[in-house]
Amino acid sequence: MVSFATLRTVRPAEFEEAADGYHAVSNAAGDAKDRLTDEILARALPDPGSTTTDSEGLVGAAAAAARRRLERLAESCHYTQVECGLVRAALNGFATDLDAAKKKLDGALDDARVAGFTVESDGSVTYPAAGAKVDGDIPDGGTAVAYDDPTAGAVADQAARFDPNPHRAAAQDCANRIASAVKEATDADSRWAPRLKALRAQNDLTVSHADWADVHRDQRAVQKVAGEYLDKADIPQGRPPAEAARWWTTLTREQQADYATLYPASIGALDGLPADVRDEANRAVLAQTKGTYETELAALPTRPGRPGYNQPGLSGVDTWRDRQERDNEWEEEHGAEYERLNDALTGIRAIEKQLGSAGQDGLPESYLLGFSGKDDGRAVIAVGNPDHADHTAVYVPGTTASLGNIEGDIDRVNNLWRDSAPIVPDQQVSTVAWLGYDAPDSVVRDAPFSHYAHDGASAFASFVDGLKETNSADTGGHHTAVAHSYGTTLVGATARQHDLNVDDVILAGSPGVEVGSAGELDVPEGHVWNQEAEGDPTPDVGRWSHGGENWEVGGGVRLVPSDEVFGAQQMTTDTQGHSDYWKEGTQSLRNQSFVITGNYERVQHEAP
Amino acid sequence: MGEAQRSALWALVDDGGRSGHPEAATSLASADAGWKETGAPGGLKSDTRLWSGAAEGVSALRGTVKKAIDQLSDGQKGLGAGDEAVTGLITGSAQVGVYRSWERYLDLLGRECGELSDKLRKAGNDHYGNEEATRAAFQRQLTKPEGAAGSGEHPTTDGR
Repeated sequence: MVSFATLRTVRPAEFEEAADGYHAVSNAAGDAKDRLTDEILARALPDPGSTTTDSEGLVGAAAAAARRRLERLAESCHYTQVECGLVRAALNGFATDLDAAKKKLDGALDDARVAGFTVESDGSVTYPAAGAKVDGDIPDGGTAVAYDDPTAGAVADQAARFDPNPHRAAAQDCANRIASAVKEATDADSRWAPRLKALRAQNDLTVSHADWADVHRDQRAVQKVAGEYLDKADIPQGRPPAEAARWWTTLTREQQADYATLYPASIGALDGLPADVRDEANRAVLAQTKGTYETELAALPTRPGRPGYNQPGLSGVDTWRDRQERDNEWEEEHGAEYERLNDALTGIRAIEKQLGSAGQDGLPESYLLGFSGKDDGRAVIAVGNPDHADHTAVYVPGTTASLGNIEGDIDRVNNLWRDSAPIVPDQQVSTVAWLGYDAPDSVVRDAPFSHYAHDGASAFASFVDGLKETNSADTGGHHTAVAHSYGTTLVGATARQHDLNVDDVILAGSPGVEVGSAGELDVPEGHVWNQEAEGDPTPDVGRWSHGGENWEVGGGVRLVPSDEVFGAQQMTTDTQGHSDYWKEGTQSLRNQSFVITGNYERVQHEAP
Repeated sequence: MGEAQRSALWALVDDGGRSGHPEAATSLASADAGWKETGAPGGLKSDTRLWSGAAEGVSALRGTVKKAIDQLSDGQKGLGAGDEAVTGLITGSAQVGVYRSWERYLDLLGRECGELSDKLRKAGNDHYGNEEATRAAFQRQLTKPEGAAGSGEHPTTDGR
């Protein structure tokens, strides 16, 4: 129970000052984490598994042992950053609630003072004798007391109204308001204390997956009581990026930090917010998701083990058929879950590797602009900061793209970045892998259906609008959509159903883009570029499912971008098949680099 | 520095020609100047630079941690054990425990930084003599949590 005396004297600002201290720690920890991964580890102790042979760095068993210690330290810094951010948010939240209660109290105390009442040490309110004489005497003064019990309270209020002393009702009102403020403070105190207690630091140097899962739980616990302080409903989810950008600027720096800490998934996914804000929020989601999934995976019962031979002596009791049956049962009950968790963790590890790769093989800093473990997963990773880029390319993958397979898509945008950045050495380039939609799982079964593209189209339009909103390059920012296979269908659907706000469109291995001519892809004439490699069957196979109709040519014909009459610029390829368009050192890749850097005249065209 | 990474050429160069191969020492010394500073085997000078660079980086981190501890304690004004905010509010009293735990944890991280920067510097000075000894040095965990050994696990919300 918070006492009246406490609420009277306490200063909520002291909790806000404490919150500032945790904020400083959180920032310092974030800086330390970045310096460990991007500078110290990247320069001296890079991960040998991920670099090419000509990279610099220490090698050997001693270096490996040193690297392990430093990676563990970086992990501790990340944990500190997130957890201290939660402490800050919790203290700010409590301070806000306490302050609201205190303001109510101060209001009641002011009114009592003005009316000439005396507020006693227990919060009751004494009033003087006053009013018209009754039986020759001025009505007595008294002390108004507030009651917890509603019935008793009602009786007191009633009595006050009928008392001939006009002060009594006002004094009762003050006493009630004082009690109500104290109760509000008590409620806030009871609500926040357990959440805060859970935010104690651990006392060892390892951040285990269980620790990260705990961080996730802590965050949700703080979210639950933070409603008054920072309402999740205020986050403009699903709104146009320009609106989200504006909303962000109306917040104080403190509110921005607390929103990102309390609701990292929402903030990380919000198109229109700066790349570095989304990146930091999504990294917290990544770590927590990883911790949760690893914990869940560890909790699954071990697979009984592939049945083999009958063990001598046991064949009567436990045959291989019995073991086969147990294995089948495990598969039925846990197989899907196991696969889901494993796939997601594979993708998460690939993303982590990329986020730690700044400075290796010439790569710049990467930014996680989207992440979710749900369903097939979502991941949006930018190589180089798109907010500062003069040229940005957004790569949209095709069928079977999923979080589990994200490493291949990351490789492609890395290749695209390394190939195009040197072409424009005085400018900045960013390449983004956008797995922001639920791609068809099966080439055969699902890809012919259009709904995957339609569902993803609005997400893609919003993402691109968000990039343009936050881009601050002097040159105004040049944006290219680079799509592969079914990803091209999504790009076409976006142009058809929404606004595709890019300057150039590159299509590789397209089965059709739902529209019948380049002119319908929302970019100026001459800015649609197509590639079909030798041995890539997709354009012909997909034509009848996703090709667009072009009535100028004559009805009933389904056109794909490889058809000359579609009107796209046909770029040469020197790769084979459906999947090699982003292979390092190829003309296929180089042509794309020319387009995304605006070097159109250097593109090699197919002979007509 | 591992034996495997020390090129035999270094023995001649360090020799200064005392072993009777002055011309070898001279020509090797000038060849040395032309070696690219890479992590390729035999690049002893660059390895030292890398270890030392890492040592300096981690040492600077210790400063960052120390500064953070100071800022944390600065914010604790009015929230001490005897203050009204602590005696009269359970959230205030909870914060004291939370603060002490972070003070302890940051101190632990600072000490780990200190141990690592020291070892990284020693590795750069070839203090340990060989690869295996250096590896063992990094494997040895000198920095330990203070207070109750316990599990050191992150406290949970106890189902609340």
